Amino acid sequence: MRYVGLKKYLYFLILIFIMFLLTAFLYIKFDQVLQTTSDEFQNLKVHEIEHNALSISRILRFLVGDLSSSSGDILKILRKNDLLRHTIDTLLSAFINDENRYVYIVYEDKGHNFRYLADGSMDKKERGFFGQKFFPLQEKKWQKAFNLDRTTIFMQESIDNLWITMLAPLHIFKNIKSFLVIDLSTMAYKNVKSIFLKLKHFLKYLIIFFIAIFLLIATLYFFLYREYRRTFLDPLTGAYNREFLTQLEKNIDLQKYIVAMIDLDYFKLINDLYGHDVGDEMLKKIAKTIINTISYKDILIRYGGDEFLLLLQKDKKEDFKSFFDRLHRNINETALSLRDSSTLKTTSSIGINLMPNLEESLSDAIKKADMELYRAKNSGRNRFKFYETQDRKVGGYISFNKISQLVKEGNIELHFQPIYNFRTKQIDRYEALARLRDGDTLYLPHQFLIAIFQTNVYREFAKQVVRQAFEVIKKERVVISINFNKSDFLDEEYFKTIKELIERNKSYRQFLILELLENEELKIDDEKILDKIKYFQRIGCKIALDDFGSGYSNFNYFLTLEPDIIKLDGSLIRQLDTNPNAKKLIQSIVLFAKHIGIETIGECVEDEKTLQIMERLNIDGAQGYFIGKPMPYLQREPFEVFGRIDTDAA
Amino acid sequence: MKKMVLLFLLFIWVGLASNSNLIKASLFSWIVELLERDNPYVQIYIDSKEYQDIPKYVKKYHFTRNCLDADLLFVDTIKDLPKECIYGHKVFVTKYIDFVQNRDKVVGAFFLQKGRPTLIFNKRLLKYFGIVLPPKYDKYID
Repeated sequence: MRYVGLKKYLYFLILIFIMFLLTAFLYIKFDQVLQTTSDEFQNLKVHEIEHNALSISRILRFLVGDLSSSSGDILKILRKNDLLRHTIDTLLSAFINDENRYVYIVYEDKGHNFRYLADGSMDKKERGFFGQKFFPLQEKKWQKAFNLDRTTIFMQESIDNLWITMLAPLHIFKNIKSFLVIDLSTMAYKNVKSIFLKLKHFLKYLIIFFIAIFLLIATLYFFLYREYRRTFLDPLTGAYNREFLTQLEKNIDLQKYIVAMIDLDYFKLINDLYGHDVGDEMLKKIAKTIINTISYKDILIRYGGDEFLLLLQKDKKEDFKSFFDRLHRNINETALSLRDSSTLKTTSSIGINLMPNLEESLSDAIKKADMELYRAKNSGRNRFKFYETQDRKVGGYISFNKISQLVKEGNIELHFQPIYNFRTKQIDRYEALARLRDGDTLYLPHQFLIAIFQTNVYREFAKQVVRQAFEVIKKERVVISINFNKSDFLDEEYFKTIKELIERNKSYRQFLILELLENEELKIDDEKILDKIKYFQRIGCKIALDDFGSGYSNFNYFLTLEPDIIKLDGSLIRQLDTNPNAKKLIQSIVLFAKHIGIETIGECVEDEKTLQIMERLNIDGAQGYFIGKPMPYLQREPFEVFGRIDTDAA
Repeated sequence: MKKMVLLFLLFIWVGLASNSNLIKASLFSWIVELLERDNPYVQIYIDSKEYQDIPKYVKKYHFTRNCLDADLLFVDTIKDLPKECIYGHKVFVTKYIDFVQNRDKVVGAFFLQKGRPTLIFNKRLLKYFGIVLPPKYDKYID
């Protein structure tokens, strides 16, 4: 099932979920980030403290160095010298700020007690007196620091408002071991931490926000989904309804689908004989069978009472004939058990339009499929029929089985139409045109290609054409172009077949031109096709754009496809002599093409005058009945039919 | 259920009490235990801003408003204390300077400095009161 229009909500939901996961991940990892930042900050502060300690010890050395060395006992000196004590206290107090909360010097006496030597605290309550015992809470760490006589830093966990304590040994007082102590307040750390905590709170609210948005969109999605089903799905069969078809018609890309109408044979009889309940059950079963047979990309619409419209994606590995064989068989085998233990089955008729992209709209494409359904019913029902274009009918009917047989037997003939080079005045390449021979009858491509399009027979046909073209290239060393539909390359199997053949003929790739027909639009964003076409270009083949200047061709192709050659549309070439605007248009195209290094060839050249104008317009090559008709052999000289003409006179 | 409520209240109490108050309270109990371990009816007098909250945390002792009845006195400054309450009583001060300047009157000092609890016993008065502290507390004697 395809929920057109609902997908964006689903994508948004997924996006919100991903964002939620990311935010949640960040939130979970936040403590780790905080720890890392805190460690970094701690390192920074420690570095700062060490720097302070160094400065203090230098000044102290300057202040007491001589005194200490002369008398030998700093304690005695300090005990007697109030002024010196006051000077040291004042010095230490200069280093006290909001972050360095306490700065003081502690020494170890003979009894291994810690005592204040000096204290920079200005608050009387906090100030330690000279000689006063000092009782650290983490005594073992202090002892270790004194024993090792090296800088030690540790976190304060049980003292309010203190974060880190640093002990830096002062090697300036003889006979006593003293340490400069700096207690760092939690203020700085708290400031950093509070910023992070605010961020963490923000993340928390963001998570809540995402959850709320997620729930909101999920609820919205649920209601829309319910509404969608109510509006666009047929409640009985679960297939789409006509309302969906109306919506679909606006934006469907017909190039990607084939259209089939399925009708259950004599279904009215089931309703009449067994009642509508049984009829409904049967319809449900059949719809289920069809849904199980098609892929999720395909679209099944209940078109009428017992009529279904099937839009089948073209990119299937299975060929369409086999697919419809299977679908037809599955429908016919669907059985409904009745109350009397008997089973009820029905047959079906299917009309198929393989080329809906040739129609103006989906409605027209459906009409063609419906016409074919009508024909299938008129031919005795319980069958499927492929729609054939008017052109094909004029040329004579040829059945799928017949084409399949002819292709398998290798009755494909290549005819070559010469292309004249204005510069060399010679024929320098040919366009290969396939024909199907059935005894004396020769079928043209439009008479058989539609019927086999996207089938295994089509792939086999293409394979034989490319193989024959390479045989001629190898033998004659001539450049040959082969026609392809752009959408051919949507078919993976087809692409693989052609790719293998071209890759195998490594030395002759440069002689092969892939000529892309202009009967279907190639969307610029259809990168799948573009990539495949460009692949052939990369490995040495040339790419030509057919019928340029008409149909779906546009200048964007120059930029996206970057063709080597463009073949100017025959309808424009024919008007060269009579329509000045056609001439101007051709002139512009040629000028632009020359400018970006693309070769130009004019098609449908049927007279000498046109040829002369083309040469004057600086077109590189010409192709048409005037040069030479498609023949089963390579025509070496131009104008064989009309006799040699003096092109130099043009 | 009752236990649960009490436990809950204890958590609230611990949560609300700051670190320094808890440290003070536990040290206070420790001092009383050391100095008055043989006195089950110890009476305590507190005239200190620093320790005025102690009775809130320590419930097992009897606190008195009359310094004369007290066995242990905790005061911010000895100056405001009547003389008859000083001698023969175990007085604790909350400033180191008071301790240093009144070594003949105070048995010890007990205060928080730089967030760290500081406890100092007066060697002379401990001897005077016949208090012998276990050897592991020698470092607190000055």
